[in-house]
Amino acid sequence: MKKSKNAIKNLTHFLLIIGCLITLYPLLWMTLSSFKSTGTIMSLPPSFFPKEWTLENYKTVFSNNIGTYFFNSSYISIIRTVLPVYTSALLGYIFAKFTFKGKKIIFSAFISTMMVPWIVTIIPQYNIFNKAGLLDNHLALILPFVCSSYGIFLVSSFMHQVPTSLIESARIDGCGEFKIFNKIVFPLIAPATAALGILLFLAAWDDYLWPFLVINSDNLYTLTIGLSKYAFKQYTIAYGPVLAGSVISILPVVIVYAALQKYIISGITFGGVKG
Amino acid sequence: MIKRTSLNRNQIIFVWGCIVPSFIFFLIFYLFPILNTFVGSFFNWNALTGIMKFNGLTNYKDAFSDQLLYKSLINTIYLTFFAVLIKTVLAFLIALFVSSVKSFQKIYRSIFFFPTICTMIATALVFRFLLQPEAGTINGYISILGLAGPGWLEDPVWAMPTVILYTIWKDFGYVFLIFLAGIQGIPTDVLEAGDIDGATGVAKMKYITLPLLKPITVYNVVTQVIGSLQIFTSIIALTNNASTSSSGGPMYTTTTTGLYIYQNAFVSFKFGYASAIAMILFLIILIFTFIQLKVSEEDGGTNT
Repeated sequence: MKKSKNAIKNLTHFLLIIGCLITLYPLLWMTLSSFKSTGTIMSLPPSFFPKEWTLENYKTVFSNNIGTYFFNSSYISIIRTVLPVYTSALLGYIFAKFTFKGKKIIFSAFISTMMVPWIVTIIPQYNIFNKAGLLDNHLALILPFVCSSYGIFLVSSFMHQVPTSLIESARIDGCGEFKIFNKIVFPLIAPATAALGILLFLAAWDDYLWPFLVINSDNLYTLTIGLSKYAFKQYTIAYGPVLAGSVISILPVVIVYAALQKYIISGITFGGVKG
Repeated sequence: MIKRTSLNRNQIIFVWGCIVPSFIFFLIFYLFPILNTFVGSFFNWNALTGIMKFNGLTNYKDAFSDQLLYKSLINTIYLTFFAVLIKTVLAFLIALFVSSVKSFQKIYRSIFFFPTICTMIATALVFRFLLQPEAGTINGYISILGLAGPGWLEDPVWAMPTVILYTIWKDFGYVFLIFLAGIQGIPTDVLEAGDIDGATGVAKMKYITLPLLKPITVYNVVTQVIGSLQIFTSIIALTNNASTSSSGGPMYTTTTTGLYIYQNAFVSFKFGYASAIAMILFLIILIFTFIQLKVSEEDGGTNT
């Protein structure tokens, strides 16, 4: 009995390890191949490890402006994290802890935008920025994201963990409303805002369609756009540099994931599993 | 809860000072655009000149006789059905496996979830290279086995299954993570009670685990369906043809409705027609959104 249980356990591990290898294979191939010279990446028979390690591909992408794309993606993604985290937390707090006229309707209106697919907003959004003369401008990548309905939803459901008595006693002490939020509420909801912040950062970093539509100038490209335009502009794809660019685009994600995995997972499971 | 009567002047300024600007924000960027798309779908709306001429139901009539729209809808349904089905089954099984072994759970979880957060454009390009028919690594290995690999993204029959393969690899970690959290959330005393009653592994699965996971499963499926119906970025990355600078090939076999809307709006500059198709797809998505809301309501009602 015990023996067969062990056998099942080992078999399960075996299957899971195979699954892990399949999952990681494309990423390992990408990383290793980015150090191969372009001619050997697509040569047959395939080789997993580079025969000769080279930084040639990385040199090529850096001479092709990837530093600028990386900078653009970084600062836009950081703004698209910090601003909506603060505004969503503020609004989540207001919806959870205050009673005012029309609250339910306003809250529903805000939250309903969470479920609106891009297909029904993209044309008018494009028009708005076109009319405002803000196409090919980084403001177009920031303004539609200064507040997040998902964030309001997440924070307002987390707010029951903040005791109302704490807020009231601060109020009795003569603390202003913004000060109460900034000094007392905001620090207390750090687990929720951390999870939200990481999800927003990852979404901003990965954003493709919107920058693809509104940004035209090479020096304004984000990393995703720069990478795809670079990959598609030649008739024969420059495999090596594209792979090096891919590695660079995934690197920050790996760092964020390694450092803050706990918050990513709590943010993702929040929607599906009620805790 | 603070009673309404207790809102003093400062609080009123604070609350409305925050609500009003955010309301304007959601109005401009999300609520007005929906209305705008709906109204625009009844117009001959030229994207380049911005001129709108009312043409009633013409866009919708055109849509119903548009063979390419039908093809894109069929492609989208084909993709959604198989991608969601395989992802859900695979993610459920792997979540069961991971929760059943006591060691290395966190490592497995980290690895399986990892592709979900990787940049989509980068990973899609990597798949494209790996699956390149002539010199790609995968077909290289297949030919070592003495077989001929398929044309993958360049073969009309294989193109969509290849897109599905990529989608599964990319997204299944998300479904897996939610299943795993759900399975780990099943109280151990419930399962132990099953043990005491002499329930076998299969019986426990059938009468305890599966029923308890039903809400999560429905949530997973519906979320995946809604996402899959709008798929765009991965299609561009996987199928963009540099020499024609168009996507969705070969022979429109990977043209999804999301891509078709984009092409009509921003390649052919037919905003009105694109809006009409967007409304049609929106209607289909709304049906699933309502299912999602219904399920989460029921779930909330019984759980809390």
